[in-house]
Amino acid sequence: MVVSNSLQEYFAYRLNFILWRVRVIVSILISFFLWQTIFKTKSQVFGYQQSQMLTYILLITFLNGIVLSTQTFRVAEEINLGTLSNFLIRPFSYFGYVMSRDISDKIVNTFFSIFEIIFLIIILHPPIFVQTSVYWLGLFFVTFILAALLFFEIGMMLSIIGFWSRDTWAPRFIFFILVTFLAGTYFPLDILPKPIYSFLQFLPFTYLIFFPLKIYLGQMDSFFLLRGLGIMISWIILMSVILRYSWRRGLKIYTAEGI
Amino acid sequence: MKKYFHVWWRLTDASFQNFFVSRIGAILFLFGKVVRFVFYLAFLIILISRTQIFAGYNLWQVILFYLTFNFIDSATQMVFREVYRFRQLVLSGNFDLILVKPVNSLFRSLFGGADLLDMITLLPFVIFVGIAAYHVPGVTIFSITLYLLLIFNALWIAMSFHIMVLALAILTTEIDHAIMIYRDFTSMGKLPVDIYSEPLRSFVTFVIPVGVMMTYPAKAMMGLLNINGIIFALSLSLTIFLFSIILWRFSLRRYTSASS
Repeated sequence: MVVSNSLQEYFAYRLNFILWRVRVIVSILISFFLWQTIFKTKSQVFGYQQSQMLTYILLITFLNGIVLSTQTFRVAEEINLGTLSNFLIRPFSYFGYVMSRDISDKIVNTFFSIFEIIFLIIILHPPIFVQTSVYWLGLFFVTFILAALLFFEIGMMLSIIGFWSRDTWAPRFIFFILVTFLAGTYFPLDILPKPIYSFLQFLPFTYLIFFPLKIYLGQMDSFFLLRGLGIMISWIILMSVILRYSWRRGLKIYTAEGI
Repeated sequence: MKKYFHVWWRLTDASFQNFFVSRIGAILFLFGKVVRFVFYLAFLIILISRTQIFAGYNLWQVILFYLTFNFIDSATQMVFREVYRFRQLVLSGNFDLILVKPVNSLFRSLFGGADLLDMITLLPFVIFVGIAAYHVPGVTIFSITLYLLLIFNALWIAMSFHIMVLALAILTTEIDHAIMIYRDFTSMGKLPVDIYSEPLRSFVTFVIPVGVMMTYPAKAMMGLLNINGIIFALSLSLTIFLFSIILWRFSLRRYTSASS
C-alpha cells in the first residue's frame, strides 16, 4: 500500500521526476567523457581496460537507483515537525513503513536507470563489458542488496540526529560528499594510492558502490571477496545495533515539539 | 544606486546573522564544500599524473580550468543565493510582500543577501588561480585582462540564467529544483568542454553556454582563444540577458498570487 501510494506520488509530478533523472544523466556524462578522454591515449589505465572502466561508470546509474536513492531524509523532517507522532500511534512498524517508502523510491529510480543505460549505450556506442558468469552475477545481486540495506541504515542514523538537533541537513550533506568520493561513484577506488585504498576498505562507503561493481567486473580473488563480504556484513550488523539503540534513546527524549 | 546598495547591505547583514544562528551546521556545510573541492582536485592530480596529458592540456592547465569553474560557481552562489529560496515565496504567496515594496522586485529576488559560506571560499580560489596561472605557460598581462573580462561575462550569463529560474518559478510550480538542474549542467564545465563529443560539445557551448562560461576564461588566459571567440562570448551573454529580462516580465504578467 505504501509502495503503491509513493509511486502515485511520483507520477503526479512527472516533469519534476524527469528533470531529476536528467540530473543523474548529466553527472554520468561528465565521468563518462572524462574516462573516454583518458583512454584516447592509453589502452589500459590503472589496470582497467576501456570497456571495463566505461561499464563501471554506466553501471553507477543503476546502483545509484537501487542503492543510493532514499527517502530516509523525511524521517528527520517528521521528527523535527512532530509528525512522527502520527505514525507512532498507528498499529504498524514505523521502520517497516520507512523501508516501504524507500523501496518505492528504489523501484522507480532503478526502472528508469535501466532505460537510461540502454539510451546511453545506443547514443554513445561505448565498448562495454558484459558479465556472463552466473557466479559473479549472483554475487553482484547479493552485494547490491546488502549495499542497499547498509545505505538504508546509515540514512536512518543520519535522520535520527533530528531527536537531538534540528541541523540534520549539514551532516547529510557531508555524508553525501563522502559517499560521492569514497564509495567510488566518480572512479574505482583501487586507482588511489595503496595506503589510502587499504584504509578505505575498512570503511562502509567502499561497500556501497565500488565493491558490487568490482564483483560485476569479476576482478576479485577469493580472499578479497570473503574479506569484503565479512567487513560489509559486520558494518550492517554494527549499524543495526547502533540504530536500534539510538532510536530507543531518541524516542525517550522525543517531545513532538513541532506540532 | 545608493539606495539599492543600502538595501543589499541590509539583506546581506541579515543573511550573515542567520549564519551565526546555526553555527555548527554552517561550519559543517563549509567543511563539506572544502572536502568536495579537495577530493576532486586530488582525483584530477592522481589521474593526470598517470596520463601526463588530458585532452591536450597538461596538469596545471586542467587545474586552472577546475579552479576557474569553482570560482565562478562560488561567486554565483554567493551573490544569487536568494534565488534558491524564491520558489517557496511564490508557493506561500509571500512574493506579494516583495511586489508591494518600493524596491525593484527582480533586484530583491535576485540579490536578497549574499551567502557568507561561499564568500569565505572565494579568496582561497583567487589565490589558487594565481598559483595555477603562474605555472601555465604563455600567460601575459593581456591574457589576464581577457580572463577577468570573460569571468565577468560568465557571471553575467549566470545572472541571466538565475533570472530565468525566477521566471520559471512563477510560470510553473511543477519544477522544484530548476536551479539545481542549472548547476548540474554548469558542472560539466569543471573540465574543459573539449572532452565532450559532438553534438554534446556544441550543445554545452552554444545552447547551455557552459563552455563560454567556464572554459573560455581559462582558454583566454592560456592564449588559446581568438578575438572571434571573445566577441561571440560577449554577444551571447547580451542575448541571453535580454531574453531573461523578457521572460521575467512575461512571468510577472502571468503571476496570479494564487497562494496568498
